[in-house]
Amino acid sequence: MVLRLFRSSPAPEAKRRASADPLLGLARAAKGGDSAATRTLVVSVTPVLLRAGRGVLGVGHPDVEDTVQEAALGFVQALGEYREDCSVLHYATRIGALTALAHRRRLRARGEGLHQELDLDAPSTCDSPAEALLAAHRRRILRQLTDELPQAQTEALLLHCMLGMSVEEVAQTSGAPQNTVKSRLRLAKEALRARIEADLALRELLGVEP
Amino acid sequence: MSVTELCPDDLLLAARQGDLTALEDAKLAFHLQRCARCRAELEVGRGFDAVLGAQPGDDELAMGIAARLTEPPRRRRRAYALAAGVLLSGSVATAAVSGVDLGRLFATPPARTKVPSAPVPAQAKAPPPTTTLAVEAEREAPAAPPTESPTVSLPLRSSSASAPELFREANSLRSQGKAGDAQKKYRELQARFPASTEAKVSLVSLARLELGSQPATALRHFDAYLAQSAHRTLSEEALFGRASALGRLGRGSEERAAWQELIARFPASVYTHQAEARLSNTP
Repeated sequence: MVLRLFRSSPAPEAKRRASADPLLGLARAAKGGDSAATRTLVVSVTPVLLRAGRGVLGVGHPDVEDTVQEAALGFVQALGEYREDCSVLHYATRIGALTALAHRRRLRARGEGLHQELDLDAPSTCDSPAEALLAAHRRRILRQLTDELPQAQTEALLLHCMLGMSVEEVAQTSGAPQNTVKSRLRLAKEALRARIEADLALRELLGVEP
Repeated sequence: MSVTELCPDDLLLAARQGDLTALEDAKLAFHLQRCARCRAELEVGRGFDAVLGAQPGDDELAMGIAARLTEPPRRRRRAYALAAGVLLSGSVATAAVSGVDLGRLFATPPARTKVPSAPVPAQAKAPPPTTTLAVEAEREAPAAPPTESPTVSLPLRSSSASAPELFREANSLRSQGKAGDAQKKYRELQARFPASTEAKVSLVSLARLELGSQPATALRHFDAYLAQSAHRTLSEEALFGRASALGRLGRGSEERAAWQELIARFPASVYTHQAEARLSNTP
């Protein structure tokens, strides 16, 4: 009894939330081989795959479309493994982020393509070009950090800081306890802070003396 | 318990979405005053939120991908080729849900198999890259004029625009692939507002557009940017472009010096690999 009181049980809660997921019916039908459902599902999740691809590679990177297509195929293939512990969109988001990250690492290994990660030309909601430039530099710093951090921290950083998932959603999607995700995020955010403070270009933009 | 152990992740996300109540706003402001980690997270997160919205053509792209992945078997040769080419991504997806150590998958990046792009509806295609900085790209076509899109007939807006407006318009034209119009806008910006931050930054933007067809002009613009004392934010890009321009102009010894300067000033640069490759291939 005492054990039951203290044992956290996120899984039933996660399942309850997932069952309210508007895409769950489509995912189940697609899993069962319904091609019309698969098509509708892919159309529905492509926006989050695009967000992940653009976030990781750079908004205008020419490989974004190919990467999203890879991620869509990976998503369809992985539907059989979907345990409904998180929403379908979050499941797709994680696959999109990991696929783009793998592509980024292949590009980096070949030493190409990453000069486009300063996505200064991206359509932006920033109020001024100066703000847009500042934001582009910050995005580049996070992208570069993903090349150096441990995989688990990188994943948490991408899903939370870049793609706006809550700690609880990251935990459900990646199958890790919330406290573990918080710990990973704390380390990753500390690295991000240190990198931003050390970035001379950013200091110059902010008008801060080195 | 330190302040950072109480970092209000939920409030940070709500702030990004503009969903804070006045009380939450005050709480978050108080926390941000003392927590640099959360300040960094909020700034970077907002930076991504500003650009990761839907773009024109996304719907068509989604429908194209969905159609390719679900077309009937007899027409799926391309899809099968794609499936073979992206085995890694399938592995990633499966590993993601089955607890496989993803770090091992990423530890030794394999050589990429070039995946043939399946046809995409014309309107869903991203605009072509407006410029390339790759040294290996095709050499200069002598005295070629700036590339104009044959379909461009947009009248450029009258000259009442401010420096930020001109910069924004030029960037927009550039991202649409309208390189010629973008170059005109950048030049107009530099002529009308030479002291503005936008004009100084635009030297690099313009030079990147000129690199393919007018490397000598591009070199002048990269040099002009690098000569500025107060605006060196894009120095890494400018040095890379400068070295590329010198390479295109066949000025071997100067090109070598430029690559060496890039490596010396930015040893962790993403361009280092290309710089070293160029140095090893240039006599």
